[in-house]
Amino acid sequence: MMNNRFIRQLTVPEFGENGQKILESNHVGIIGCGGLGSHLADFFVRMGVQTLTIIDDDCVELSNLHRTALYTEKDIGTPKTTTLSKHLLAINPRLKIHAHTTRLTAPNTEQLLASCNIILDGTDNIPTRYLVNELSVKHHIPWVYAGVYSTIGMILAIIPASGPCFSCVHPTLSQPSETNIPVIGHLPAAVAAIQCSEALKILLGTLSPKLIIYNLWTQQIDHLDIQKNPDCPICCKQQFSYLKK
Amino acid sequence: MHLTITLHGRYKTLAGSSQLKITIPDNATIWHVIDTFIHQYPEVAKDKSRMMVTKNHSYVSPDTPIHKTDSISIAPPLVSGG
Repeated sequence: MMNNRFIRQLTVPEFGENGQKILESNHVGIIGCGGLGSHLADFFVRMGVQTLTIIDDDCVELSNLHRTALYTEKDIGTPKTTTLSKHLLAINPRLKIHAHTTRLTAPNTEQLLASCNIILDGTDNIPTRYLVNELSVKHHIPWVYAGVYSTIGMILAIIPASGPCFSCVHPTLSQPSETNIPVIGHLPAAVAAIQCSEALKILLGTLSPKLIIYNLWTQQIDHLDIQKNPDCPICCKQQFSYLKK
Repeated sequence: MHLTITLHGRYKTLAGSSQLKITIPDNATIWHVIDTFIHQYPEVAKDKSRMMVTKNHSYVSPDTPIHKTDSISIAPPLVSGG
């Protein structure tokens, strides 16, 4: 049955049986269960991930439904993590899922994520990404940043040992002041799909990370080669100020 | 000095090209590049403090001096929505 389940991706040369084994043996963490996070969880569970951690402290709202996967109107008002878990277990009842209905903070970050082999970013704010970045560098766990705005998505795979970290690319805490940022409904699925590919290539050891800028409307994709900052306080000097807060 | 900078993302779309030729003072810093770009495309002024500028493929702060042999690229700020 299992072979039949994945037969169509086992024959993909870039992935194959080796990719399937690697995917099934790694523990994937997803922070945020909104537009990006719900699609990431859906993709990874359908593709065969067996152990998944999801973290979010929000409940499903009507205004989430245009861009998220799996949630329905019946789910409005329920915690995203418990509802998403229910849907994911319907896809694969053998899934080992650790669902945490909490906000990721300095005191709980290591406890919740240090056992993951790779972390996917589905959050919506920069401070949480700094926290994840420090955890990633401290525990040598790769992660994949992604963000969306309007019709544009940005993705960067971070492999702490070999490439730039998030702080090398975004060294100062500056956030747009906008709340309720515009996001066209099908953008998170497309960006999460690119994020998923980058994560798979990290696990397979075949990725050369670049910052990807994708415009879903114009179909333009841009790759920006960024190197490690030799003065980076996080990945070069191991100063973990967010984890210590 | 004359410099050809590389534009990424919507900046490339805005300029209609990935390459933009600019003229800046000989003792220029990254600020001069940013200000010259904004002067040509005022609609990007709101990004000024958050533009992602790299020099020779490494992120640099706006105060960084530049030379005519440096490879400079500008990308829009990282987006944060999820």
